[in-house]
Amino acid sequence: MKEKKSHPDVCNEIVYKKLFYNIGEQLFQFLFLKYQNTEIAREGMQEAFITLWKNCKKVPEAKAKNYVFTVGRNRVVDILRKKNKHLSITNEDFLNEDKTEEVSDQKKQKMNYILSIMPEASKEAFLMNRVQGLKYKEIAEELEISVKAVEKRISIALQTIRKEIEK
Amino acid sequence: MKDKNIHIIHQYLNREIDIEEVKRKLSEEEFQAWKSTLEEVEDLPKPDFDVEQEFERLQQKKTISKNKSEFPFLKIAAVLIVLLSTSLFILTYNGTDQDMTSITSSVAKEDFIKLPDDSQVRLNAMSNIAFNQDNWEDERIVALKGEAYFDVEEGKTFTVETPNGRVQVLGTTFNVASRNSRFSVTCYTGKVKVNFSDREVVLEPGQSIDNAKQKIRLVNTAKPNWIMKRSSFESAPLAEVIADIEKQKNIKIKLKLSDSINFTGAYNHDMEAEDIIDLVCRSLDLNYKKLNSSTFEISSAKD
Repeated sequence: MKEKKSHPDVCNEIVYKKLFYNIGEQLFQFLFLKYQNTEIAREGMQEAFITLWKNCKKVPEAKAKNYVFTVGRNRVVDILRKKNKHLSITNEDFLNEDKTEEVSDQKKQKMNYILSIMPEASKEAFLMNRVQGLKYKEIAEELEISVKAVEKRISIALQTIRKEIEK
Repeated sequence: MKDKNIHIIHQYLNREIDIEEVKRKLSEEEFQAWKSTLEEVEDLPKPDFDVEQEFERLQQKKTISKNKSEFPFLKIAAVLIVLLSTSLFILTYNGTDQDMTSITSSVAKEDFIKLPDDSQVRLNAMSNIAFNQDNWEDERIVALKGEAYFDVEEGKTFTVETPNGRVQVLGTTFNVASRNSRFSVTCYTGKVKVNFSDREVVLEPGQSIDNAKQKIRLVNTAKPNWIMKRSSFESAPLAEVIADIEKQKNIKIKLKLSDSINFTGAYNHDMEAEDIIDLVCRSLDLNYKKLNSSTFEISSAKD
């Protein structure tokens, strides 16, 4: 036996594939809800996983999920910046496109609208909790803010939703 | 908006208490006020997601990203590349033999050719083959410049002549290419005899040889990558990769680099030109600019 019996890292194709099957959709949903655009969400999700692959030696399996979410969030910012510069597509164009095409039923449309008017920081913390599944403390660590600040951001998110639903 | 009960909602979202407990802690009225909001946040919109399709897409992009040395590239191109100047070659075959049938494929287009004995040739983009139709019964000889995949009917010895090497077979499928300054042959079925650089090698199915490494290696594809509409590279000079992209996509790429860089990876021919360039650049940490619809410029990241 020449092989070293160590914990398989993300460089292992099977581990990598399993990770994608487990969290690829979550990341896609996260980015979609944050930007209301499937193309951007897909691109960000794909790039996050490619970056994970390139750095598979440095990222332990247990940390891979938060890693791809962080990379995905950051990459989309770059993608949007690049797209805005080169193609002069604005966020609003994306919004309009997707609202009619991809989110058919009213309820979904409403939620997408609410998310589009929600303050960015609140939306981010809210989605980290709801989609990424992080606890407040984990969000605080990830964003390098206090738990109180996370509570505040999510409060705003909740109140935005409640106010809009009651309308 | 002030809500003194919002900490209960936070406890719920933070998975400290369940919905029943939320109900107990809040008055009926308060609970009703939050109820639909909680329902909403438990059921956020989900766009359609085909995990298999997405994973496949990812795999394609993954292979193009730089392969680290510990990941041997499995799908090795089945290519025969010949070591002489190609223009000289055309002169030899097209200039001296007037009755030769000569077929040239154009940029970004592959041609499918039937030889007189029903043997088939798939000509890759920017390639040329020539053969003598009248003499075919006696001698099955094809002159190749560029790259081609052969599916040969059984019969007399079938020869592919190139300035740097000769490939001889009976019935078989094999790939021959003649580009730039590298030389390799891959046999897919049957047996192939290869003569080059004073050497004679017999290849069995799944074996490949090239003049850079000079030893037989195994390939695990059933057909060459370009027939699968794919190009792959193993530590290939970037200029070679760029030339291939230019040829497949019929575009121009200007290289503005001081150092030579090697690329390992693959791309599919149906990808958009810009996507291919983007992926190559990203994997090598380079920048690119789109100068117009068919011209790109690649430069180092610092510029």
